[in-house]
Amino acid sequence: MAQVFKLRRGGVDLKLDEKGKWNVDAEGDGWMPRIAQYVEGREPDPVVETIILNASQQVGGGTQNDIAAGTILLEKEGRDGVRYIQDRTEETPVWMHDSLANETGERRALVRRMALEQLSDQHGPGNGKGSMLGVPNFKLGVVRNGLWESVAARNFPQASPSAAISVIYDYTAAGAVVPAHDVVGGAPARNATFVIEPSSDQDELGRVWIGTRSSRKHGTLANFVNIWELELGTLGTDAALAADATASPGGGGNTKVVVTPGTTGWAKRHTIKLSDVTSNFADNLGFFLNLLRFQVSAASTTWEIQFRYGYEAMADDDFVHGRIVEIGNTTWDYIEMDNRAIPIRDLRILPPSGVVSGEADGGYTVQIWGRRTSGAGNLELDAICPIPLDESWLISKDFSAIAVAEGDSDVWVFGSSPHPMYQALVYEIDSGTAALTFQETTALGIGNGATLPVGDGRMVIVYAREASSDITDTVIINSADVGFYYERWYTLRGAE
Amino acid sequence: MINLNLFARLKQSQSARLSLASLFEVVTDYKRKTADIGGYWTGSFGLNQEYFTMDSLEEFYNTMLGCRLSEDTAGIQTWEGQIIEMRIQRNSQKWAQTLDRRRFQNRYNVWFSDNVGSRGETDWAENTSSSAIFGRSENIESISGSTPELATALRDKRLVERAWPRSRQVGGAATEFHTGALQKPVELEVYLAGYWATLNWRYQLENIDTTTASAAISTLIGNSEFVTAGRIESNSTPASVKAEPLPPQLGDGARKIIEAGQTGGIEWKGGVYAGRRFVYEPAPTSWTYQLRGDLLLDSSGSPVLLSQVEPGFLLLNTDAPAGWRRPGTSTGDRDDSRVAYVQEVEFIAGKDANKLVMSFRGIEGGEVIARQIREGHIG
Repeated sequence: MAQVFKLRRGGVDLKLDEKGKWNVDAEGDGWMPRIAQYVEGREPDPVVETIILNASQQVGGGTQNDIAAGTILLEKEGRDGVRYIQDRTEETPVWMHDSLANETGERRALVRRMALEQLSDQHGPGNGKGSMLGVPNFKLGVVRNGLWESVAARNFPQASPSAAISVIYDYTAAGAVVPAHDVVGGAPARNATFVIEPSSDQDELGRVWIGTRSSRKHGTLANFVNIWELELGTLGTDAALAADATASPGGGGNTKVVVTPGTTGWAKRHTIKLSDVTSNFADNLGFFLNLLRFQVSAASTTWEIQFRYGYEAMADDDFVHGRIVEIGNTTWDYIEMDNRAIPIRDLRILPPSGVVSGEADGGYTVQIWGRRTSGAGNLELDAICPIPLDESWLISKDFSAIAVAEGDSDVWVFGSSPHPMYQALVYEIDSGTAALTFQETTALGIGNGATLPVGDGRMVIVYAREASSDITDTVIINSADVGFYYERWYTLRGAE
Repeated sequence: MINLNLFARLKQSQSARLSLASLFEVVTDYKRKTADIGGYWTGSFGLNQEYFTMDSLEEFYNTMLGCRLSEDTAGIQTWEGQIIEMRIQRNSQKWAQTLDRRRFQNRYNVWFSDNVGSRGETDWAENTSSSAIFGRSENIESISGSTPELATALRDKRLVERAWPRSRQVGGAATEFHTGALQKPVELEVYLAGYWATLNWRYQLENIDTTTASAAISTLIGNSEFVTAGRIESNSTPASVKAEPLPPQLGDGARKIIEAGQTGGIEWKGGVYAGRRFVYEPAPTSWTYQLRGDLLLDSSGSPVLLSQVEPGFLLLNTDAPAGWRRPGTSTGDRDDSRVAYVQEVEFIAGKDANKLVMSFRGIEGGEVIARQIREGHIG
């Protein structure tokens, strides 16, 4: 495609290489794009650049009034750019668009601020380098986002996973309208809009936990175990297995671990190792938020639970203690236990071959300790659902349960702006007009901008009701391929 | 990894108001302290016109006092408090409003003595509109040489003065005024207090007769409006709380019991933590964190997320000299000269690296030594 170098706001373009106005092709634009610095865990800082605008009538026959029209528009867009950053009611950003003359793809970057500076005398003949008829030259200072993004969004594919306490969403798969597509780019893509809704009026949605995992960092994605069924572990003090149709069906079937004191004080109630749930240890490493699915069997019962982490050969006293949490739900629910890495050892220090074998990671062990502090109910444990945290993640809670009711649908929508600000909202979709009615905001947790890593990847999604978990609930993710994302680069895009 | 969510005031709603999810982009200088006695203690951050309009900063100032802030690290709450004070600066003028209980009281009583020493007290008077929004903040003022009528008048006057957190100019009259390019951007300073502060919004008005220390703590916490009992471990040391001559505030009463510890010199810690739950437990006797150079690691040698570090732990400094151990059979970590008890941590969020300042007792007992740890972003 032809060279593109312009500013754009709300469909109105201002070409920065327009002959007869800026004449940058003949005189050079003085613009050496800065390359943003990569920063772990957050968006790179904005970059500051300058562009020389050689106002000239040498080619194209533009007038001084044409040039003035350009400077006026630049002033307005500079103001609009700042307003978009500051004002949450300003919905139209200012973009800088660029592509080289033979570069296939066009890129854009959000403009945060612009300022004009004059480089030559205002009046007099032949003023300034490259100017004719006394027109001054300008330097345009631009502060823009460090990353370039695609002009056109890519849609997420719809997925309707079967009921499960944790699901894997393949956002690179084909959808109803979108073809299969790994994320391209030099930087993680911006997750602009992501939608989850209950599948039917029997289902409710009140919380979501989403973690992203890429093949580039984590190997074979299909080998990742997103549900550690506790019946596969080792029973501890006062613990026994029991069938329960409302428990997760994986592992040993719909089975739970029931702890019936016996001992009401602190005791090791259950143990589970990585090798209990998988033989693909290397594909299950990472940094996780551990969710525990649990319930107690009687009202007015409180249990305190603690995860302890180590390797199977270690003495109990040497295990690293997680935090102590208090639980008392009489229906299945999730509790966030800890953030922990698998493995505990530093992979950079001990090479994986020649000193220790990969099987050593299979001994990674989670002990579940508990004590009952009030009431007479038993502790019932279903599974641990690890949410990946080391690439990007998103947690949204505290929204009133969404259920399909009387033909209208409520949906949970996450969005991020380019600059970035984030928000997760609940909307009602009118069944007749499809109009969206805003319902509420939700509390939000974000890691690494909830971005999509480059390449093949999956999202691990745990969804739940506002204060409980029902094994039969199902959701639709990005119904009709409605959600979308923008791929991003640090420099050129080329043919990606 | 760290997110801030603002919620409505506890008396009014649980709904989210504003998500400052992109912490490093929009707030400046976020930091907060947690103490081994007290729990989530104080915090602060700034907002300016980089990401907010002047109007939205003023709106924040006008509407957010008393709102609840929750800090989460990767889905786990790591600090919680309320906006206790805000200061807004426009050019050289500054205004402030506060819920500091020294200035904000919406339930008042005056205890008085007359000229012959007879004692009395007024009835409690309360501005229920204020307490319906912010919660009840009580004060008992004591005066001598008074009449019942004068004491009542004083009570009513104080309520008028202090029941509402009015915005007031601070710092004296403005001496310079600017317009146009010389105008300085509006800046908002937001100050936070953990919910322990609200324990001192109420008094323990009845005696707590001699009972166990843990039962006395439970009774005190049971009289709180916003704090509930979480993990209250059993401490059988006898304790009591006297409501005369002046009743203690709940937080002060609890602090006194916690500081005393347990028979045999056993140290205890207590504070308000996640979910506004009160935790009271013995201080550890084994180290759980270690310093290797400038790295803070857990006992397995893994780096820790600094925002998840809570005070009241023993820290092994592998660089410390061995020193001289006390004679006898003690082998406890507390007697190991390489081990220090960390009383307070301050987490300071940074654009490129977070910092943790740990405070522990130095050789002078009351001396506090701070050690700063930096971390890059783990995720």
